[in-house]
Amino acid sequence: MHLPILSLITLTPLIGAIVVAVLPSSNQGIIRRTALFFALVAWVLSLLLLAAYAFGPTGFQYQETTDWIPAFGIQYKVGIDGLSILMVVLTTTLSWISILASFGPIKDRVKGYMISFLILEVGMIGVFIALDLFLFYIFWEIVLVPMYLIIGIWGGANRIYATMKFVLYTLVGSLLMLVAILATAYAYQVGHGGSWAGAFDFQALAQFAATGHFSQNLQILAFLALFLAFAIKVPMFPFHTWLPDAHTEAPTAGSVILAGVLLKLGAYGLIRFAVPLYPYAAHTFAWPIIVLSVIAIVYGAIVSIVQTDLKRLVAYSSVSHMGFVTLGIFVFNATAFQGAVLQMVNHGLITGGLFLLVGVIYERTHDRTIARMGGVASIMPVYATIFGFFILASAGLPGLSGFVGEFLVFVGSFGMAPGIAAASIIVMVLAATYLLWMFQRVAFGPLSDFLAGLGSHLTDMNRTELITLLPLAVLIVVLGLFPSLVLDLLRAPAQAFLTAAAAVGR
Amino acid sequence: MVVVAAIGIFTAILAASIAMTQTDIKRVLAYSTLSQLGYMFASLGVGAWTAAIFHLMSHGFFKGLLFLGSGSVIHAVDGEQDMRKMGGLARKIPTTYVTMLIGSVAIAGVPPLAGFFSKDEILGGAFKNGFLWVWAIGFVVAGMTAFYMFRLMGMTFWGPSHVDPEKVGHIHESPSTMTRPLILLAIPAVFLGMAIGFPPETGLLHSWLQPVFEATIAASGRTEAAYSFLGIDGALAIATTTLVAIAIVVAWRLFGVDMPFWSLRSQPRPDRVRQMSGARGMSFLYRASSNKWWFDDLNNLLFVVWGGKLANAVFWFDRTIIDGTVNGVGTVTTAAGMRLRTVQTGRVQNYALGIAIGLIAMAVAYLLIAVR
Amino acid sequence: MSWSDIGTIAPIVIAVLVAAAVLIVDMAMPGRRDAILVTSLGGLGLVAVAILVQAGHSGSAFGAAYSLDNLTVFLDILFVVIAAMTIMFAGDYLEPRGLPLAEFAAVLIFAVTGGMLVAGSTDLLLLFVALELMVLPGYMLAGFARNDPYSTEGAIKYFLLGSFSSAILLFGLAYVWGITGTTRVDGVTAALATAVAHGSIQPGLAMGLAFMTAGVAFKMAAVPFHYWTPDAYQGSPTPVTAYLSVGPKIGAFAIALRLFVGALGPLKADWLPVIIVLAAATMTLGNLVAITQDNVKRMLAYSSIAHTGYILVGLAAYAGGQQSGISAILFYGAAYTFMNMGAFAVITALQRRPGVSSQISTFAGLGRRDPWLGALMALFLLSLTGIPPLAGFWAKAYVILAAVQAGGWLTALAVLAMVNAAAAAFYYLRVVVYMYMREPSEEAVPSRPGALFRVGLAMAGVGTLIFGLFPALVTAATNAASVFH
Repeated sequence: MHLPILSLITLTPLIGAIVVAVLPSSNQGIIRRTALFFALVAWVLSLLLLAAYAFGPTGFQYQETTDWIPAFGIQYKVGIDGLSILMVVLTTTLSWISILASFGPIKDRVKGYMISFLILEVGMIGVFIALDLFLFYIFWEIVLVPMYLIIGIWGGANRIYATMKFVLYTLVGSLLMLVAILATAYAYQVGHGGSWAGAFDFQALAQFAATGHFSQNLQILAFLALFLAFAIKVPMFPFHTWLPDAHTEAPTAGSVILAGVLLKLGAYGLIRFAVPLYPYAAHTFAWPIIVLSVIAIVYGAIVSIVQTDLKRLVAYSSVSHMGFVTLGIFVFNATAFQGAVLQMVNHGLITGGLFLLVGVIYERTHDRTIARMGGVASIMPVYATIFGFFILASAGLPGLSGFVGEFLVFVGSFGMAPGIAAASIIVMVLAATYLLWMFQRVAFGPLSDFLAGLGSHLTDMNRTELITLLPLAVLIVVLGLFPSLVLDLLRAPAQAFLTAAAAVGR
Repeated sequence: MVVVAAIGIFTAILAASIAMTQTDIKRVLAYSTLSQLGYMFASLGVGAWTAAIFHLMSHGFFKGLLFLGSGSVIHAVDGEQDMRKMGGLARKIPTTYVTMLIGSVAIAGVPPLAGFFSKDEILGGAFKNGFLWVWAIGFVVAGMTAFYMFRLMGMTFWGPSHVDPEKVGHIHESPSTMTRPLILLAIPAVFLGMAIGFPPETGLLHSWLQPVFEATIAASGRTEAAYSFLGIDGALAIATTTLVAIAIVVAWRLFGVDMPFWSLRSQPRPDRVRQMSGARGMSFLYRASSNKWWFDDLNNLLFVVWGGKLANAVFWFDRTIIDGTVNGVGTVTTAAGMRLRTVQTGRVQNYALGIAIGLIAMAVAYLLIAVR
Repeated sequence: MSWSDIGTIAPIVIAVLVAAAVLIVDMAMPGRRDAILVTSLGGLGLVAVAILVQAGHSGSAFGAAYSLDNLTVFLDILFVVIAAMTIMFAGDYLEPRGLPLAEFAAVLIFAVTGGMLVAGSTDLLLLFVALELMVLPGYMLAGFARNDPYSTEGAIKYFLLGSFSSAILLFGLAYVWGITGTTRVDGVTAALATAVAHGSIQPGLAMGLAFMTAGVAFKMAAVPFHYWTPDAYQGSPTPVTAYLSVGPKIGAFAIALRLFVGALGPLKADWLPVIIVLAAATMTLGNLVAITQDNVKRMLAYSSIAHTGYILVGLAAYAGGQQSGISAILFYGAAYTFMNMGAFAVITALQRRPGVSSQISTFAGLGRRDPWLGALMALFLLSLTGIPPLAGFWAKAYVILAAVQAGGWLTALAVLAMVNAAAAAFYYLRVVVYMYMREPSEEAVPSRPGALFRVGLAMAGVGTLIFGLFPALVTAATNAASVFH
């Protein structure tokens, strides 16, 4: 019996939420620092876990299993592989950054906000470590509620429309996913002489799927249900329209987590569950999904060009960037897979950073209209430099992490679909267009009248803001120069993924 | 992959040809950048991935240096960007001059500066991987690069001054905030190639990038032949270097040079330039080059006008059709609820009638189901 | 009648005595609220003890007209909990309006007694009588606010339509008696099994099925027999609505279990398609109309119609061959009791001061005004939506699992149920939007509810949470109770 480190990481924010809940709501300073403290503890624990993680072997490490509802074989079962640990670390990293980034902007109902954020973190970590389908589903839904509150309570003017759209859209997908999960478990139960033992256990189910035991009908229907749930979350074209609204209305930290982690939940679900459990269906639908991915890549980039709102622009660019992830997953080869996961991490770091940066300017101007900006570089040189750095990273500048992920997906998908890969590479040009054009309008040129009117309010970045952005920048450089740090972690998961995906059966 | 290589190398030669006749100092550098990016693209296309990244890094340093340097030049002549109104600046802004000269030598591909190693790896890769035509064009481009860079140097720093008389007095070296980055960038421009690209194909960079391309290389089934100084690689390097040297000398003959230390000195020959560019067969090329192959007009039409319209159309589609459908589902649902809600009239008679109808429907259903 | 018969129905006898005792106490000590509360709640405690003593035993009384089995025990406990919680919530509501608590408690306990009798009825006639014993006090409760015209109007509609439907049900029972020649459930089952084995069903039996289905559908508020629900729910005093939304509904499902699963079990292939259509129509209409409501009580009325639809999925799953469907119905009933009564309790708390409406605007800023009340309401609403790990989620999950196990059309029904559940999130979360995302209106300052009320709320909240975190605690009981014949 080893230390239940995974449960510890998951529980830390929950304990934090409880502690924050009993603090007096009048003392905002203590509430903020307590929340940050627990998020940092979770972060440190996850880093220790990463350090202790054994790179080589396939399969799941640090497993914990406890019966929960034995009548149906439902367990509290968690474990990690290289993919999970990456996502967990990404989550814990962005969580404390988000909480720190909320210190300034969130002044109202701080207690509720911090509780929501910590519970959100519990749900997100849980999704990435759950090895029981039911447990996964529960964490998946737990994520929904705090985000609903974060957008709905602390969001912008049109927040209620945005948050309702977010919740209803996600729920449609996830409830159908529940039906699919139950049907899958039942098929397993029938295949095991009516015994529920292991019916929700991912490893048992994957084993069952690998030997081709799920009927093609079940695979097709269940895959479609899971795919819908995950595609909405990613979000894939044409299920993406909740994203610009949610991003635009969410508070800065909400956008960071939304882009940085929540979108990854969908991609993670596809990799972990949808493909390995239903390989036949995954292959059947691979081409349509690849086409949708490429449409998303190009479409998101084109729409980004004409956006007038900074956040909306970054949101649409997310649609484009996440298209690379789904493309990389469904071409089924190791290079593209590693690229896809790397792209998940990169997108989390880079887009998270971009939202933080938009937040910085919004804090000072209470505006995000690109047309009203201009000449920021002359007053806020540090800000403009860092902004430029993240813009270049997002545009896929070689040497920074964004490039490596997209490039690997490009290379990996080239063998399967040269035309499609070529189309996606055009987007690198489009990305440079919309990002640099936006940056040029915001940072350069003469100081706009609007900004000039703000006078001394327009100060350069403060220390807290720098602390939130620097870790991301460092990671972007490090992963850009040494992508093998991540790629090594992904060798075993890639192999497992491809093996599972290849079990098409009859 | 052939497509990528073709697009890349075509871009490289086209952009290089444009750079040869531009008069705006920044424009020359911009087209040079485009040309070098084409080079890298071609490199990816021929399977020399590591070389592409290598060139990208080395290019990043010396092109950064050159752009900053051009900024310093423009600063010195009070905002003038036209090289025809420069000349003879070498002695007036020595730091800028020396660093830019280093950058030019580096980009031209003179050994042992950074550009030599990276460019050589690309060309070698194209040759050895069987893309002879890519190598041939790339070889020419290498010569063109050397030519336009020393054309730039000649027009800017050497020969007689053409600076506006009222500005001459104000020419001054830029402040240290501008010159210091120049010096800092000049160092990698000189040494980077040797530091991470040497020995070729086994240097530091290769070991860094190894894991990235490992799977790809395995998938392509291509095994990279060992680098041989005395074999084909050496021959190619010498060929390229020779071409570069010739191109530099031609540029000196036409646009002048003034390097007393090396006792190199020749006056620019504008008459000769005019004569050459006006020659039969050359005049079309010259016009095409100086008009950038009319790409600007095409671009404007294609990307700014049509592209803008397309982007707006796609955005309209997103808002109206896709999001409209999403919101439409909500609207239809609510409308259906509103319609159904009118059944609830509040009158007991209506309710009883509804129940009776339900009962009759149910009776019919049961009779149909049960009595077979 | 023998002493052993009395022993078997001891909980019911005690409940009747408690109701009588409440009235006597009220006469002996007029105006003593506390005495009435002690008598009624203490009495219900005694009833609960009596039920628990019977747990695990089985038996029958009155010549097998009444059966004691695990199902009876499970439903009885549920009824007692419903009654106790309703009384806890009612005190704070009735007093400011000058309505008599003793009468309320006594009538309520009588109603619950009827429910308990329904739970154990294994004779068609007794079933009908028990049903009337349950619903007649319900009509009285609906019109309990004598001076409120809406209360009276709702009660009259409820009474008229209720009587109409009772007649319809009775008519159906008569058909069955006429064809099978018996009113005992096991006798009917045997006769029908023989008939089915011979492959012929008389048209009369089909008519009987139609009348019985319609009658039961009315009681459980299934479409198109639901018309009384919104008017009665909205008009009734809020604690009564809380009771009406769970008590008679669970009673109706008890009838469905005893009548359809029990007596009419052999015909399940015949009533299955009807139940599927009924379930689909009920959940869809309930949700669609609920979306458009601005009054929270009326909204929850339509929501209760929708939940009837979900529970019917469990019944259909049983007919599709899955015993787990029954267990799912029972779990749903228990979960629904806590979360729905909790939601109505919060409305009751807000309406403590007479004149406060149940419009959604009443909830504006509740999260800030009264964080605990707001958080509890959010908990109940999220549970009704079906968000894990709360009771309502498992209720839905079990029903859906049973349906998926049955397969075929029931899988489609499960998908429809889930689409409905997603749509339902809109109106539940809309209340959350008002509570947390809108600013409070100036005049609304709720007075703190009394201690007993808070105990009731805590029960509802803890139930919703515990059933969600440890559903296995309940499934043990529901699985046992699902086998009853």
